[in-house]
Amino acid sequence: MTTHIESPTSSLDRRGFLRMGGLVAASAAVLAACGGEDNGAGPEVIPQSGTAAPKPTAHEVEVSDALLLRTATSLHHNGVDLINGLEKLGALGVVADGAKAYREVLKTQAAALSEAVAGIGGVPFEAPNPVVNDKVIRPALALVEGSDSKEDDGARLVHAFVTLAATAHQSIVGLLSVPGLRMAAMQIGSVHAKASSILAAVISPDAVVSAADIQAASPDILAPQEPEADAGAPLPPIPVYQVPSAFGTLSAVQIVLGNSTKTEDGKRVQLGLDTPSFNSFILDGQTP
Amino acid sequence: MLQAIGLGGALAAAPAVPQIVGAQPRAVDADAPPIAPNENDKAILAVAQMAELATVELYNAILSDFDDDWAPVLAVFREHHEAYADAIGTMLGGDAPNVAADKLLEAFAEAAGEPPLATLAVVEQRLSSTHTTLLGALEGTSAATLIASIIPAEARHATALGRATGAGLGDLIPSIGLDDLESALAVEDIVEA
Repeated sequence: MTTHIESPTSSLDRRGFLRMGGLVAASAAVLAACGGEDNGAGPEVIPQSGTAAPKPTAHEVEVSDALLLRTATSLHHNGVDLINGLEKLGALGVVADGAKAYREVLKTQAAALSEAVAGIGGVPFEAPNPVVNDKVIRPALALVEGSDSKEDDGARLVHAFVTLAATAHQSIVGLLSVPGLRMAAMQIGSVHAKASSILAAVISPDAVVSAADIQAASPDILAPQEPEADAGAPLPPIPVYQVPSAFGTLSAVQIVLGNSTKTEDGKRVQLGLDTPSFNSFILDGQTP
Repeated sequence: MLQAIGLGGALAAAPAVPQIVGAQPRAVDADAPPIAPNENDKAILAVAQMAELATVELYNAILSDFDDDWAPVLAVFREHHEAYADAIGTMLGGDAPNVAADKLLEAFAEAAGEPPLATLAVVEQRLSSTHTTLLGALEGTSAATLIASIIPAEARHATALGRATGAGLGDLIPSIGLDDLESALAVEDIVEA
């Protein structure tokens, strides 16, 4: 297989992003080993010399650049649907303005990714990811709808999903075969990270970093204590921070949703939002 | 004074494409990208590490005379940059320069006296965009994965600092939905060519 790159280091504006897709020849490259089927945590970075093992597959899925970008596209449509759903429930809370504005950004990003998929010879998938819809969006919206803190849960859910989008773009960098596509992925991923940071600031204005991080960096400063969970009480919200960690992580995004007065169906539960993996990739030939 | 790091926009037109040996257009004829950093990647990682170490020095300079509620947060951000430099250095091993980029240090020195948070917001944004640009030249997946883990964190630094200086949503989130990389530093802005 030969992949020709006009310029892997080109700075990309929106036009450039789309143009780049056209510059990359059709590529069905199969990439470095992927994360497990269910953990969605992406690849472990294991020092290794030589080249990646060719054509790793799972469930006979060939993980191509087009598949990865198509899957990323689908997540943006999930994000739009999520914000639409929360808006219908009146559950966007304090992030309502930001979420509505970012919904338009998500649409723009989805369109750019679709064009990039077409540019490398793939078939775009311009619809929500059905697995993410079934496993994440619908259950989460149901929990928010029944919540006794609907607006707070909804705002945190938007934040969690945008954080997931940032994580997802970071996670595919090690899988994409072409440096220019990796760069393009992070041109979008970094914007999701910024949006996540802004949403966190709106939800928790004073929580730039965690008290533990402040204590670690400045041991002589008495950092404000974060409240301890009351054993037996309904699960409290997961704290959100503008800068939650030194590095972007690939771990599942945690969120607590549900009704604090219930003890069975609809009670507050902690969910982990995983990045797409083999069970949720948008495969070649898959249609909405 | 801040022109050298872009607050005044003087370097906004500087080429964002790093001119690193081996980063030129190429044809790949292999089934998969390399995992370990090759010589091209090592040169890029060295530039990235030098930029991070210069940024640590900038934080040190600001924190030495900064009495503000943000000081503890800046100390955390400084540690983050130390962690990036360490991680890159670990990947480079004996090839790590382990020195701060002189040209950035000079630019930062010229910015002394400017509002610290605004200065840092610009630097963080430029670093994030610079790493994104460098990512487009890295061939090995290990180096790419490492740099990709730094980009979102520095984007978050920039956003938090930008908000602290009064920037609004429209200032912080590009409407086109992707980083246009206009603020990325060229390699020659960081080290001598």
